[in-house]
Amino acid sequence: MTDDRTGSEPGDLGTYLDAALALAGLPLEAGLRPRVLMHLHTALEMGRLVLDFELPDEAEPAPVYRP
Amino acid sequence: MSATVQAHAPSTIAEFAAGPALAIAEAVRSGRVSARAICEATLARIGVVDPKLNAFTHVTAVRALAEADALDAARAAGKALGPLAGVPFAVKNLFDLKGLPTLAGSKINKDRPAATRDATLVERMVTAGAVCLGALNMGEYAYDFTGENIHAGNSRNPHDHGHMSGGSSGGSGSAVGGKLVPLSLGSDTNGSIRVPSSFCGIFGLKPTYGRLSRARSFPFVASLDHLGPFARNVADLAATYDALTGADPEDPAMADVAALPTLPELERGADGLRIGILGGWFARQGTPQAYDAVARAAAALGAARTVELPEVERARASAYVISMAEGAALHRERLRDRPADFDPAVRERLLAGAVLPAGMIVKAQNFRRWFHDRALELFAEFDVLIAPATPVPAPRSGQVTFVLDGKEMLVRPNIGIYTQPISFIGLPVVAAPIPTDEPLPIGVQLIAAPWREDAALRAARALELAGVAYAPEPLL
Repeated sequence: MTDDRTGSEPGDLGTYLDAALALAGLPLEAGLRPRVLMHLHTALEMGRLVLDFELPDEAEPAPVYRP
Repeated sequence: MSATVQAHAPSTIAEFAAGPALAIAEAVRSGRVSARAICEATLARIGVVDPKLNAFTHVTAVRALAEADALDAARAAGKALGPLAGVPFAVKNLFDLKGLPTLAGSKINKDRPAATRDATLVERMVTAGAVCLGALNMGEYAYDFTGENIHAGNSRNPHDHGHMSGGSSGGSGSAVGGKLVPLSLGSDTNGSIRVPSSFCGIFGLKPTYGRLSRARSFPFVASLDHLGPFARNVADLAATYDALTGADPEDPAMADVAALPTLPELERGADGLRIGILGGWFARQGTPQAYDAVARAAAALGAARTVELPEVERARASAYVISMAEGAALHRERLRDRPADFDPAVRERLLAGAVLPAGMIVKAQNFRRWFHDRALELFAEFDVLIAPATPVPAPRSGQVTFVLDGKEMLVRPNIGIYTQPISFIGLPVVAAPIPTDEPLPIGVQLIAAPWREDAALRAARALELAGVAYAPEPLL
């Protein structure tokens, strides 16, 4: 099983999660914390794929605001 | 229209009311059957069948009968009726229906005030003569591929009640797949029209991003949200789409691109269309049923060449993190103030989304344009690309994992592996059911270039004419 990491806490991801949620004022009970960590870990792996892709500085984001 | 229907024999009317939608409309316009008779038969069927499917969260019987009577009165007064005259339809409960709170599958939204006006697309259906039968079940806040809902109960698969309807427009798929109504509307951010179409064995259209108005519908991910129709045949799907098009200043994402009617184009079928098969990512992680559906569709359409979109995994990853972060931003106050009222399976993902680094999301939006440009390069050579809609037929309700390519994976996030990269860049897609003799159907995606809904619909019609794509009868 590749994306079920409920038992692990990679790096100091748990510390980051707790601090970021506290800053945002979002409550998280202990029972759900491993699940949130699992999803965060998966999303960061996905995000790493995105960040690792080289784009030119001129690359424009997809949504364009039209005043 | 048979003499028995003219005599309003109850069983025949009940059968007739299940569609095709265009046959109902023709009969109502010509006066061979009344809109009220169709509406009453539909209400009766919903009363008997919906307890098995749990597709509806609210049946708007009073409204529907009033709309049907108004149609019959208009016809009696010599007024022309619309292209969907008397056709029953229902909408995912994230569309505003005047007089009802817009639930979006949640418990929390029950406390919202009742909507004071219908969603734009509901208004357009009613203007076309369709009769609104109510609001349909969905996954909480549309963050779902299963059709499961802990508040309203799961909408069920019309071909096996022990299996998922697909999400998040589960009720929309279940209601049309179960022949409760001939037409429904749903939303698709990452696959929520195409997944229920595949699991429930019906046709669905996710139009180009910016094509159909989202005004007065409850959002999920503004960057990626689309609305669209479901039907049991291609002509009904095209006619409904045609009725829904048109500019609307109340949806700022709408593009200024004219939409030509697609229904008159259908009989051209696939003639002249250059059709390819998507390989790479779309030929991995699926089951034999998914690959077989693509092979049968490709053979029927004469598609021989397999091509690849580059970097599909990154496209899927980008859609994944954008959805998580935008969804979290949308629900931030509710996550803070009403955490216990969420489905934990939704809340746990939104909380993760709330702490994703901002730079990652900006990069994902930059990548979105890059990926869009690569897709346009492919569409210089092709009009339609075929891909699986889902990697599997409907899993069992509550199923947590499945095995794809020999690897055990979580069901919930991975049902949408083939749909997510396509909606990421807003391409129009018809999901077409390709049934076999197995009890659970599965579908394919017919993907076209931006604004070419007509090409996807024509390919679907060609599959229908070849007897390859059709909505199988439900087992109820």
